[in-house]
Amino acid sequence: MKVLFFGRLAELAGTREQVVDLPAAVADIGALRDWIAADRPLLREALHAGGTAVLVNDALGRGSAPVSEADEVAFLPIVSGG
Amino acid sequence: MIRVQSERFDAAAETAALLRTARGAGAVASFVGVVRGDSGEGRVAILELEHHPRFTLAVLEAIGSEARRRFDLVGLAIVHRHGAMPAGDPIVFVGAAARHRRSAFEAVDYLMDRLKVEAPFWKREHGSGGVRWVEPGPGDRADRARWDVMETDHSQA
Repeated sequence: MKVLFFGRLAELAGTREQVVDLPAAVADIGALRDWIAADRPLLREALHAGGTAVLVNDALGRGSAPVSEADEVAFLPIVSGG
Repeated sequence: MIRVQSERFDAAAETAALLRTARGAGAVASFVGVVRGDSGEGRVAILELEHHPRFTLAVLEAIGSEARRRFDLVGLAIVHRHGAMPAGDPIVFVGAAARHRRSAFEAVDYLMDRLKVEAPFWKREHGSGGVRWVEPGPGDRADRARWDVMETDHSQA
């Protein structure tokens, strides 16, 4: 799976793009969010604070939306502009 | 025509292109946003915009469609840049063609208010205050909110 981070989240993740092998237990956005940030506390905090939108293959998804190895998932701060 | 690009644009050429395709137009209004050389935090040398290549365009297209419907436009152009831009550079072009001027003026105002708050661009200023993320302020949100209570019928305007 390809995981993309945008804006401030890329800074917290330490990368803009990451290719991961998804464990079988990680089957939805909520689980992916916990798993991907497990060893990055600042990223975990940001992903749980609200204000983050998640795209699965370019479509907005909620926490219960399923994800699988073939998907591209993007985490984006919903606050932008200025 | 709605585009996201890193290259500079030529506002006169964009306006001319819009006019060529806008059948029945009686008015074209346009706006160019420019990278400001200062912010509340000091001097700004570079503004850097990151975007999502497909999602950002999809949001711009949705905002454009709503403007077309709401102001009965016969033509519309949005050109938004991404990447690193020096102060003084043009950053966004918005053009609206309508049968009558009021709709064209208002459509441009509306488009800019929505773009400022809703267009998915992640902005960083590089300047005398270091590097900082830029987010919409209360003024931007108030500008955006004006339109929620101002739906009017422009088809006969």
